[in-house]
Amino acid sequence: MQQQNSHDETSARGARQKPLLAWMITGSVIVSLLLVILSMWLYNLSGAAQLDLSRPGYQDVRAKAQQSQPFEGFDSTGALDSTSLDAFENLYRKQQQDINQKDKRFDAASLDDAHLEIHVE
Amino acid sequence: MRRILAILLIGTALGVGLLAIETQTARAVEAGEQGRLKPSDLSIYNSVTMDCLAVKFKLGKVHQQDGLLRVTLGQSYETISTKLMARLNARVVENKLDGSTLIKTAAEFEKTLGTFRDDYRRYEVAMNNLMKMDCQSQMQAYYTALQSTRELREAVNTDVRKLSSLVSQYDREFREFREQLNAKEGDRDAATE
Repeated sequence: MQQQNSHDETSARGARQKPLLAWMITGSVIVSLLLVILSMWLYNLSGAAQLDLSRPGYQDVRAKAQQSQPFEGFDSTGALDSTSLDAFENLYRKQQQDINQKDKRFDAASLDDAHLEIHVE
Repeated sequence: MRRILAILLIGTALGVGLLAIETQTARAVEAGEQGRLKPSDLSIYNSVTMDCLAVKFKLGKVHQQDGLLRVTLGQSYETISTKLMARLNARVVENKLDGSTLIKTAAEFEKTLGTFRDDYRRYEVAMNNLMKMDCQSQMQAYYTALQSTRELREAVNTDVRKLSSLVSQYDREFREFREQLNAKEGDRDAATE
């Protein structure tokens, strides 16, 4: 009698666990999907998408974006003597020249009618 | 327990579904509005002719170059802001010197950099939508969307010019600061003698 009862109890427990396992798997998949949607939304909202050159369509320019040398920068502690000021000036001028190059602009010519060969009447 | 779990799962599924629908709707509205001619549009074109494939190809090239330019400029701006301006300002404060103009310009630079990031994001989204839009059957709407994209690009260009001018301004202020420092040291040496 006791063996019969324990056998019935085991069967009942097994029967309860099967749908519970299915629900847990479904729940995990749904929560994962939710988190993926949330992370994609943050990726687009934060502006990280615009810096991601691994996206399709950027393969031709991907290699050009590699930083050739690490930049240590100016030390934030210490005295301000002529040596340190000269060092700062050299570092700053290099960066200034870099960003002032002529081709580093979002010029209007790239999207104008002449360049895109659009005729408007 | 089972009922609670079921309610939780149904609620999550509904939430995911609603979020997906909202995202799709927002995207559709944005894409639709971008090309739609509004009553306020004064320039209604009689005829717009273009080779759509060629235009989209050129836009793709511009988009690629813009992406690269954004990354390289962004790196330079970040370097100038965090590894140069911020560090010099910290050192000026540590040495108890007056660098108020340097700090003010650095703050202005950081603020403009934030504006640049936001403007570029808006421009890039518009450019992406433009490349996906149907050009063949909606040529006038496509041209209107192109006009909007041009305006957004001009805003980014304005930000880049302003950032360049702030970099030059900081350079000038640094030189003035250095001259003042040299003058003070000269006075101190003269007083010691």
